[in-house]
Amino acid sequence: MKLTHSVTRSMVKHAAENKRLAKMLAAEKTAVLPLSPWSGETDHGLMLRIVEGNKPAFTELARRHMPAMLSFARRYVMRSEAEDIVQEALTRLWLKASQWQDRGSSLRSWLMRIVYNLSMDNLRRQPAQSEQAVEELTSIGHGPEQNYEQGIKQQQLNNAMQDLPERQRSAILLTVYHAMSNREAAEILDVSVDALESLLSRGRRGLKQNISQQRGES
Amino acid sequence: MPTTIHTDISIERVVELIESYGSNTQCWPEQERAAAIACLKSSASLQQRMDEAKQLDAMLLESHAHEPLDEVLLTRIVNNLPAQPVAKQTKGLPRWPVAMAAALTAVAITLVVVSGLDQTIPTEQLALQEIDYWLWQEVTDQVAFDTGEETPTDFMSLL
Repeated sequence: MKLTHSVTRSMVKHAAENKRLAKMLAAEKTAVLPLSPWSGETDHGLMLRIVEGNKPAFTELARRHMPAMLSFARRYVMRSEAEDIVQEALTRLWLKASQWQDRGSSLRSWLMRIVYNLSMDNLRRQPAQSEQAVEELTSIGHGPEQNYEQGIKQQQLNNAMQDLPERQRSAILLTVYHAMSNREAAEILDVSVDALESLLSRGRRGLKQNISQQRGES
Repeated sequence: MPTTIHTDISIERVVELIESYGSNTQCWPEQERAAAIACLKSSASLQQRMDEAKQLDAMLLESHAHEPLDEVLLTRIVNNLPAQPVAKQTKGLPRWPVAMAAALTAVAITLVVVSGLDQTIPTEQLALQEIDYWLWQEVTDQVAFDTGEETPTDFMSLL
């Protein structure tokens, strides 16, 4: 009994450490998952199987692209909405697989474009974000292992990103966080490569200004 | 699509590239990359801009963590997949021969209709028929059609 009490106290005291360990364990669990028989297949090859109604091939494709899709959607909407958007995008992929044609643009950009459009539709339906939503969006990337100073910096950067016009923010998200080429990012945002370059340039300038403003205020 | 590799680039353009795409040269447009990197190496002011861009990129990347794979969500999505729509294509028949046959049938029908409509009598032939009719009336002093008599073909025999 005494021992249990001590453990509980310790857990409360080191909650952050425990969270970090839990995260590591979760990562290990993911790592030991059995390899899918489709893991060596290309996206195009998987799409050919999906057209035939092959669910394991679909699962492998979803496994590959879901993390990036989810983190992209999370930059615009709350977690629960982002999950719905990812589900909708992947369901469209399943239903319209026979219509998909490999015309040089990657499946990743096709999926990200659906996620982007659905996120924008979602934002248009709810123009005024609740305080809770704004707090959730600006706290993305906060880890329990961060110290106070890192947490502040993170918050400033997230606020600076949130203050950018939506198109500029999206251009930065796609090229920096998702390492998309200029052509891919332009395709997702439905703009020319020149227009994307302009968005990026203004976005990065705005971001620097917003960060120094945030620092000045704090 | 063939890519034109630029061998010449201005300092202003390299500044634009740094300000747009940041310090990761892999993100720079492929056709300008090599020339821009060469230009960058030869300019101290460009290197300074590059260092500033690196700082911003480091901050951005440090703040970003990809969402881990959510197995629960994945299972939910897979379990709720609707049935795929059945392809509209006729089973066992490839599409193009069917389309070709339909097109040929349409062309044939159109030709038949058009040729039927185009059976107009030439003007000269009409005029000759008029003269024949007039001559016949003059000779017999009656309308051939009224009597139902057979129209003679040799008018000279009647004169």
